[in-house]
Amino acid sequence: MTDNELIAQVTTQNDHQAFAELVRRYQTGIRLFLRRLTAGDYHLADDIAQETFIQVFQKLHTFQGKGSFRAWAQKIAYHRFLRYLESGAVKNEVQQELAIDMVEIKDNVEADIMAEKVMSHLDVKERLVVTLNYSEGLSHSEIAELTELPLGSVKSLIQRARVKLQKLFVAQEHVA
Amino acid sequence: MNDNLMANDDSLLKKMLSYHQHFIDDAFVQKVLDKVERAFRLRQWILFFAVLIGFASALYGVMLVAPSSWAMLEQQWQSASTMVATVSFMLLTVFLFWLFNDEFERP
Repeated sequence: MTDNELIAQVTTQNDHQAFAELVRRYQTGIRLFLRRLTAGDYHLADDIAQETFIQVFQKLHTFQGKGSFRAWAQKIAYHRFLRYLESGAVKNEVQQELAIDMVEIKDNVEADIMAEKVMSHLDVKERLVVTLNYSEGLSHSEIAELTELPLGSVKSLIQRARVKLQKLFVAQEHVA
Repeated sequence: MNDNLMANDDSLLKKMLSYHQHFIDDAFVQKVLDKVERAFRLRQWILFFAVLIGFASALYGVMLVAPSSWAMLEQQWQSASTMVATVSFMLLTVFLFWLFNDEFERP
């Protein structure tokens, strides 16, 4: 079944199983996106992800199918995340130490944990644009549209984050 | 790694920052569905109590405006109480059945 068929099932027949299938399909993207934004706070990320899907269910009838369902759900996740950020539940602390424990990555779980550690060296806006750019593969203009940030700011944030990460890796080289 | 990073920083970053896991567990899905169901039930109860309060308020208003009519109604009620009670009960049952089978968010 396509996404649009599932959405139609949910909105016209209140089909919870169709909605469960949508959650199954998109939980990975939304949960990993939020884990990156929270720099590895799994509990908080999953709480926001659950609230995101509940809101998706409640607002599904407003989805017009102009863009992808994934992009629409991700926008909701981003706005939920912003709410948490404004409430102070998300720590916008940047790890200042120029060192990261680069262990040999053995599996996918460790690879994601490493990426989340890297995120803790960036501030929230940098995490956001870097994740959208490098993890989600969005273009600069798509990021500007999703985040409602000026295109120039998106570019400079990505550049700033890239420089920070390069410094981090250089420092790591010296430690090793 | 530094030289490599300088030369191919974007591809290295992409490789490092891409999503590696794929979640297939149903526990998260079930939690979401449970919360959706709870929100649905809560909404129904709120709707039910709102209707009940509205009905009681309307009845009280009628009593205040037309006490004589109310006394008359009371007499009629007593004379046909069984039938009226049955019809009222059936109407209430149908209403509740409709209410609790209504869709959560109909577009």
